[in-house]
Amino acid sequence: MRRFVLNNVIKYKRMLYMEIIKSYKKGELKEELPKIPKKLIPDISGEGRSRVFYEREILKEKIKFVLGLDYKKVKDLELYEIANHIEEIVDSTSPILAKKPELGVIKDVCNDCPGGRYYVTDLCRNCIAHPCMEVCPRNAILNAGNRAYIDYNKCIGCGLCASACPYNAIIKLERPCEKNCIPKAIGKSETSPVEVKYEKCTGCGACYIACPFGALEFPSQLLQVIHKLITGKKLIAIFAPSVVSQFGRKVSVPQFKKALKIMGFKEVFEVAIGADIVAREEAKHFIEHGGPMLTSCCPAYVNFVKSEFPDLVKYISPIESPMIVLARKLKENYSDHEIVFIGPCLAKKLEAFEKGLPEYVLTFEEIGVALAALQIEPAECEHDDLSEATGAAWGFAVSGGVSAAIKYYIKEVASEEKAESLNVTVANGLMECKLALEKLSNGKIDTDIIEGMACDGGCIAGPGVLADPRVAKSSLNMFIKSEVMK
Amino acid sequence: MENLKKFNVEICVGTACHLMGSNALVNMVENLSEDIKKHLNIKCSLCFGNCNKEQIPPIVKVNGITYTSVTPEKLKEIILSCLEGIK
Repeated sequence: MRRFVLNNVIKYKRMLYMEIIKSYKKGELKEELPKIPKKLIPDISGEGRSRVFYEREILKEKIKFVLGLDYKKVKDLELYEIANHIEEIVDSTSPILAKKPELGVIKDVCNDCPGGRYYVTDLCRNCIAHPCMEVCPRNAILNAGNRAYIDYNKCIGCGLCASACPYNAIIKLERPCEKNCIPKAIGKSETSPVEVKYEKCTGCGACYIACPFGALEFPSQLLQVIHKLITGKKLIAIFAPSVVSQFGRKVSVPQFKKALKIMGFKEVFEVAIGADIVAREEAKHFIEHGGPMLTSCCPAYVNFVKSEFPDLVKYISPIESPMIVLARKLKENYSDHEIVFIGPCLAKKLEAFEKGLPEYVLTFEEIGVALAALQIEPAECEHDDLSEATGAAWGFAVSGGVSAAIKYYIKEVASEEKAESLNVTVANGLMECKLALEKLSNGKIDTDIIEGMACDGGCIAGPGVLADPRVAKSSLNMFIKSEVMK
Repeated sequence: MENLKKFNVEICVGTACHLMGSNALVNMVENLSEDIKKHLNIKCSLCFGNCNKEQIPPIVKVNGITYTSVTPEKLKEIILSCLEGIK
């Protein structure tokens, strides 16, 4: 499961969001906007002074994403120029706003990390045996400066030297973004330190999590949502099952629900309602059509199948994801309301854009900073009532949960035997998805359902979470036992 | 039984502090050795209201003194130095 480390890139981003929302609420955003980088990263004297300018520059570029702008259009604009358009930006009418919420690359922030090559490190002891030289098929390793040295004109990057070294002194340096991008959608190009192949990008956010400089960002819709809430527009919030424990140990799900209503959402619903519908429909679909069936709830997994395994698209469950199913259902009764999905996911932003609803997608991180900036403490809120949803539906948030829910409903729509004989493959993380899909494509796997989750651990390990995925998993299990099953 | 000298450690777990890593502080304090913990009155509090006075979260009060932008390492140092003081 993904190891969650709260680092400075995340902290700066959260402080930036809080600062912008606070300024907006005070009605000072236009004046304050150009001053924010300097406010968050104040002058220092002595060592590290030059770093201050670099970090301010990073924040300056990040602000453009916080405002939800189309980075291609605004990358050369200064903040005081953007501040002039702030009214149109917050009320969603500005032409410089991002239309498609796709991954953005801040080239000025990208460190142009070296990568893809093998390096001999200081651990080399220049040993007598030098297995690295013996094993190299191209004689690319020389002895220079009292240690092994790789001649990159000859090296083909096979890695035999690294595996042969008894000191593990030869390592492959990989760029964090490239290493974590399973469909290989990101990398260096001839003209740019980093470029995204959008036809391959699943929107999973693995690179966004991985980049230690924070050079990858998604445009946010938070400010626009806050503006609508403050001006009393009709908005409905729907939140993903992975919400459990995201806002700290003192905040229960019913309190979070209440906090959203205090923020100004007219109605709030759990996406678990949609998950129940999806699991039941997928169970029916499976009984009628048989397998193999690929689950459709993880948008990054669906995008991955579409771009990498076009032959397998026919196996993707035709049932839409819980977010879309619930949003469509709500539109029947609340046609004049706009819907805001709140979840751990960045790929949902793309999914919502493609399907045309819900109108807004926010992450737990974004809604968390909004609560903090608006000074709403969910832990002090009353308990709202939760809607009816099964424990199986709440389980959608964890890898393995979707197939368990389908199994649960197969028991109901068909029989116990049918459910027990179900052959499920759980693919946890895009790497496992890739392996399972390759096997399916080659006919080397006999399976009824391949449940795919792009994030390692499921939605609770998504790029927009606040809680450590391990904590979230155990809290969710406890929540299902105590709240839902009672 | 000897009368143990204790002091207060109040960790803010309000939303702003939660976002900036108060959870790691709570975990660190809970995992301190019993020898240290018996001297602490640990309390998870809701917002002290300080983050809205331009102070940087997470915020912790130890022995009545407010510390801002606290990391687990920093908090451990603070607790240990307070412990020295009461011994």
